[in-house]
Amino acid sequence: MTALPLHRSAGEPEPGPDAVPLRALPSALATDAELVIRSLVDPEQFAGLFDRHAVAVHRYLGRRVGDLADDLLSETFLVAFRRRADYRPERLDVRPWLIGIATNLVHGHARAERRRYRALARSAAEPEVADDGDRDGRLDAQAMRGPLAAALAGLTAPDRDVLLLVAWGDLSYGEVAAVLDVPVGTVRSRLHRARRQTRAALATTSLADLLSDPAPEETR
Amino acid sequence: MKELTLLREAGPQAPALTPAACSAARAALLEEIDSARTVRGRLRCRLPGRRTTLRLGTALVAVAAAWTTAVLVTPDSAVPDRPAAPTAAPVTPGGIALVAAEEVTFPLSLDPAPEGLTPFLSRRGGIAAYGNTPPFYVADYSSTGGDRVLVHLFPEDPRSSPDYGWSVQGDPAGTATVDGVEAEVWRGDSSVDLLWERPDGRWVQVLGEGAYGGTAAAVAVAETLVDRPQPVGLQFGLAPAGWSVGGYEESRSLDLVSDTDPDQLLRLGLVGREYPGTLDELLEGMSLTAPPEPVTVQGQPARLALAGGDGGSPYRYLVGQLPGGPFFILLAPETLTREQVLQIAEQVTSTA
Repeated sequence: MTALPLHRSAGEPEPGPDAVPLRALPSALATDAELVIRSLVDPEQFAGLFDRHAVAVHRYLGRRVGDLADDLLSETFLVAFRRRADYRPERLDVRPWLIGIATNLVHGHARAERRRYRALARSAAEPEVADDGDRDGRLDAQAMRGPLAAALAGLTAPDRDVLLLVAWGDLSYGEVAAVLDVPVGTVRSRLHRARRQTRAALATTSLADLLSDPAPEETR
Repeated sequence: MKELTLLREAGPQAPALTPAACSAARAALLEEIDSARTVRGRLRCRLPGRRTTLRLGTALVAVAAAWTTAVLVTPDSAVPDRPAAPTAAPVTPGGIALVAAEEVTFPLSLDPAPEGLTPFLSRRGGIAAYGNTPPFYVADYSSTGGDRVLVHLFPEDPRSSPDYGWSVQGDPAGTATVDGVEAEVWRGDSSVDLLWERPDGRWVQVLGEGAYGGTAAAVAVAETLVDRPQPVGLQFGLAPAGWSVGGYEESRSLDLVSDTDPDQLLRLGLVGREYPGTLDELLEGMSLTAPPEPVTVQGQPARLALAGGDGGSPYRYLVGQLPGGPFFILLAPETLTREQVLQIAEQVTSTA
């Protein structure tokens, strides 16, 4: 966040008569980590984290387990609240911490997750009718959706976790390592394997050409 | 990284978060928060009225007369730790007695301690606020370089309850011998887990990573485990008589609970050194019933406040700073007097 300048530079023009005077801003909003710390002694502070991150956590869960996301969103924040004393801000930001908790909850619904991917793979085999000018793009996406879902269903749970934490959770390698409690090297190897298997699954489709130039490993 | 791009753009999409689902999840969280306030010792909405407080105070005085030392860790205990044998201790007339607290310890040590690794010690379970299992212990010896030894001491096979957080997947890849006892072994890409049952029926899990990520290295460090208690980094010097350890987390949060009323909780928490704010900023956002009182604790500026006045009875909230060290927060029920809270704060210590 960039602080608003409180003083004009010497070269700036004088404000016009209609200029709205700047008012002193209140102290910056508490950071996520500060809210967790404060919630140890003032539990209500934790509700602010829900307001900030519920949508992101639900989006991640929804992509993995569909409609179960509503229930798991609630569980994620309940678990996070109960374990807030475990949170170590020096290791992890709050958002990836919440995503990690959500991931652990998904494990309890692994069958539902796989069923969802398989169902999506089957339903994607039935082409949609595009009704606007971006028909080619929609057909490409349609073509990808089924094989991608099938590829996800075929991954082992640990490999899928890493892949989806990076792809849908937007976590860095270090954050994934922290939330899964594994070394970064393990994250890299799991991601490498997941990418390879996904690429192999997609290679049987018309997307193979898109993936024929394997990119170097990410270095984040 | 086209697989990731494809997953983001063409992978399964999430259903929208409806206002109803969002409201329901938020309401569940608020209910949990409210419940936690109750667990925290009648600190807010369900604090007893003045008359009840007086009765409670009388009861605790009676307890204090019987037990004059507050804290003792008993690793094998399945209930909150019990007070030790009586010793001389200061008593505050008309209220809860404060007594000299025994050192809070973690039951195991690594001997020799792994070079370059710092232990973070936890005790979980045992009381409702710490989970539904009997107490179990976690020592996380870790470094910023990726070397790590994680030791769990469970009262039973950790696979017997999901509340122990057993997260190792699959069947063991083999076995190894730790001090003559057969241990199951799980191998990861650069980590290894060992699990074995001790002769006393408790179970130990050792996770090795980095330099300890091989079976031989993990077994070697597992064989340095000894039944020698080590002090938790955070300590009370004074504590209410008849109170015991409720739990502690990673050497930076330590709870005492009343033996007669587990809802009564005294929490000491460290604020990480990385916290960039000031003492007063730690009080921002608190529901204070009056401006915080500037006080001096351990020779350092501190603030003492009553918080939680929004519909509930206040509780005492002290923020201070250890000499040359981090900020700390002390949360206390109002059944402890202002002077007692200051006395307790004066004698808290930390090795952090």
